[in-house]
Amino acid sequence: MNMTTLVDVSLSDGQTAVWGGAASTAMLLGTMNSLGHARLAAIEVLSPAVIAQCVSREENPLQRVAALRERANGTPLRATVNLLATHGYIDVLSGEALNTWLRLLARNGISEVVLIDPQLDFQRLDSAVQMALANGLSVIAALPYVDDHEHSDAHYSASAARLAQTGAQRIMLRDEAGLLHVDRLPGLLSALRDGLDGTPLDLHTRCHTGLGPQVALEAIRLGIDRLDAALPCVANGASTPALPLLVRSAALLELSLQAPDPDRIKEAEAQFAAVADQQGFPESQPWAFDLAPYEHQLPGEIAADAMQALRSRGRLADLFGFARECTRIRQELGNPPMLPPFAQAIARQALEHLDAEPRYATLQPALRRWLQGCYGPVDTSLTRLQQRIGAVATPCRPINLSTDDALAALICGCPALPPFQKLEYEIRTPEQALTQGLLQRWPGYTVLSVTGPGLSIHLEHSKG
Amino acid sequence: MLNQLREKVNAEFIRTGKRRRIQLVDATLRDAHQCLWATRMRTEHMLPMAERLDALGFHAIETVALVQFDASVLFLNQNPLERLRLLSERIRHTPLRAAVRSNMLRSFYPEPDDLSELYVERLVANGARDIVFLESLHCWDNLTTSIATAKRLGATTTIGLIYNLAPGYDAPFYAAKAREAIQRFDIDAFAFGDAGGSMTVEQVRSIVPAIKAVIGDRPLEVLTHCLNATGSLVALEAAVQGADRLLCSIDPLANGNAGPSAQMLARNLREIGFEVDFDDRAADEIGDYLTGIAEENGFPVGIPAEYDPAHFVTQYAGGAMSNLQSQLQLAGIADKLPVVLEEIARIRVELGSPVMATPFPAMIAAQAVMNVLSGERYKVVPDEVKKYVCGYFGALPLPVDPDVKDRVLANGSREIAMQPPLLAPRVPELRRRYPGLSDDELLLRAMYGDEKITGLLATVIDDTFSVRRPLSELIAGLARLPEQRHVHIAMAGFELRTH
Repeated sequence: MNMTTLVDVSLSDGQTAVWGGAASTAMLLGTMNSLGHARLAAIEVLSPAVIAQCVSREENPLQRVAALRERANGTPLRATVNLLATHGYIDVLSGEALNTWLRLLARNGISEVVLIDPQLDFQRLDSAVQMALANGLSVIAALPYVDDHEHSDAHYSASAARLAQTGAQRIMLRDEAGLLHVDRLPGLLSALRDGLDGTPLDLHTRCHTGLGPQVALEAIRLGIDRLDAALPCVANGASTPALPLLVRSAALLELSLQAPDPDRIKEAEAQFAAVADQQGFPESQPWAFDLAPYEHQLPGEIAADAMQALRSRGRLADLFGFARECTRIRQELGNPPMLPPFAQAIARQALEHLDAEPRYATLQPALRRWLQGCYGPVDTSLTRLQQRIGAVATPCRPINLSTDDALAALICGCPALPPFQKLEYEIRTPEQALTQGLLQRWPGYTVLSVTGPGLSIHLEHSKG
Repeated sequence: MLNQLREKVNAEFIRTGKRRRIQLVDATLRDAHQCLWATRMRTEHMLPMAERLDALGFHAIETVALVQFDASVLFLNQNPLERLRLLSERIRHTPLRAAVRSNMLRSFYPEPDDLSELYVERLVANGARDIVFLESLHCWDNLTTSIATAKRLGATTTIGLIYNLAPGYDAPFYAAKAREAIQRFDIDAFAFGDAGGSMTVEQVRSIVPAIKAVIGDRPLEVLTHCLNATGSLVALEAAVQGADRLLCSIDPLANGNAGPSAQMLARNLREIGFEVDFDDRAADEIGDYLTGIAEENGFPVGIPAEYDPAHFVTQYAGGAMSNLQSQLQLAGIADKLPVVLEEIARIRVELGSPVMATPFPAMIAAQAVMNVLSGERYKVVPDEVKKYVCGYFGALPLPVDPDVKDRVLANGSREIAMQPPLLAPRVPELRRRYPGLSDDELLLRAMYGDEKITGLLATVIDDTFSVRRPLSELIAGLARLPEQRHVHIAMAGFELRTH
């Protein structure tokens, strides 16, 4: 049995789930200096969520890739590519637009792509895999995990077999809602192995129920080839299991795991935690066990946002009411996958229904386009709503742009990719931060006085 | 997982024709603050929420055990029996529960029967209607007097079956102990649980049905702790496997070192098909109140723990481990820690794998250090180990290795008799010494001495239920002042100055 290797997703899913994607490119560079030397199987640096975060801060996502590549010390850099766009400017990413994007990713330093088709449209994936391979990328085809009766072991086995036929070098079981558990795993992995016939199998799981680390360790025991994990300050909760915990536990349980360099991982964690401390980013905390994620099945940060929305409304007691509303909406719509671009729209729609009647008084844009058939024929019970919103002339909008830059901007969901910026970030000591803060503020005050244990600062404008 | 649990509960419904009702037992006033606030919740903190707790729908509310006695008297200068009485005046519907620890009181040595009897009498006299009996060795002889007293006074009796991660502590062991408790005491209810958070779903699947098969209609309560991420799941699984009651506490005084959250259990139990009488929203209001107390006093709230398999490998609890490390460091043999830990695991099995609850971890660690230092195992035997082997703490649950027993008896102190001495009654002497004192005070003085009991403070009675946050209210108040106002507030550790 091969040793399991680890992929770090701190800079993508980790900081997205725990910090709401608040880390800028410059904040990642110090951490990458350490991660790059940690002998990881790969480091994920880009995802649709990261692209949206970059664009919202007027950062160029391709600059991020290039800057991280310079510090990666040759470690393969990974990007996830969702074939269904999340920003609404386009629906399906395919053809020349996808080809251009894959070429740009490869040119800027990405060497592995995880191709996600939430609808698991194999023909679309056949073409996407071939394009990625043609651009020199290593291809991992994602198999989304859903916890329900329809998705049996036989379904997963057949899907894995079909994904392997696309030509992808690896297959990744993606449990973005953290629903796997140790009773489910042995049968499932065995079924997948049967379907895969030797193609390596990777696992991406989350910690919504707190059981993610247990699942990850069981997966190592069962011989998973690669596993996604994150630094502790951006692990657990809606994120993946913490990397050092997996390494320590695998040693304790005598599991076959190829551990990265512990000193470099410690350095990376110290660096990333210092960024969080300086920026005031939230602390990573495990979530308490709850069965509600099995009802709503919301992925990653979308589940985190929904929990926060319920908490801020003082309505945690309605968690299952909310979760059942997500399920109901999904069924009424004809079962769109619980992944972007639909998952967030379903969560928002469910919150609206929870806040005020009547249901569907308004409709989330992604759900509107789903009902309009932009993603294929729909078997919905919401026929009156469907009639009300009407059809679109061209369900799959063509992309007629000629330049790489214009295509890249459209794919990233912005009019033009932001220009490259100077990347500077400095971790300051608490004393430096305090001094700088005081000096910035004191012109606005007559007297500024700070007193603490062993500390007394008194600033006063001199007369004249 | 949700579907599988629903299917199991539904299968039971189809089999029996009725939906099972799961009762929740509250540990907020007892175990939860013991685990999270070092038992520092004051009676004044409890009284304002007492009536609301009473109305939530709990089957019982835990109040005091000996740890609460100790913390209340030694650290808070409060009378634990007064606390019980004040709570019972406010909690009129839900039975209050108090705990008995073996035949011990303040110390970890057995006390004579008349003192155990007096202890139970005073618990009941001050309002406890449900007495839970905990005995780490599962030696029911140690509980004979206190159970008889509780029964005589009409209290409900619940006996603890303590989970132990050790060979021999399996389904047949707990079933046999439950059967013995029924045969000897006609005990009313059982509480099976785990203080260290190391119980797994698999073990619950095996042990809970085995106990239920023996106890029949008598209720089985299960208590778990959330030191690992699986504590809450284990509690839900226990209900599915036949447990009738679950011990829990109000979030945010739940999770982490404490047990599962009551709100989480209530909504999840309902969701998988059980009946649960519990007012979740009113519980959230108490949760806000507890958050206020935590903020006001600098106490932590429960943070869910990360899953860590180390919990299932070692039974040497965190506190005991840090003590051992510092002792080895003081003795200049910190480098021997791995050998000592290995020796601890070996000795534990040789001595019949006692539950690792006080005083046994310290006793085994002392023997391990002696074995490592002397180079010959059991050449030097601490007095506690000889007493344990000779049955001073009660009959042992599993036999001691015969060779080890021989060495302990041969090398232990000659001054320790092979037969534990009979314990002479103490109450008559106490009555002579304290004529005219109430039984409450007599008991407390016997446990803690005159100085501590004379110095106890009266509880300030204020039942106002409010979520007070003085600091934030102060700052909000200052923000409403006219801009030119100068304010300077100084107190220990805090200074605020506005210009």
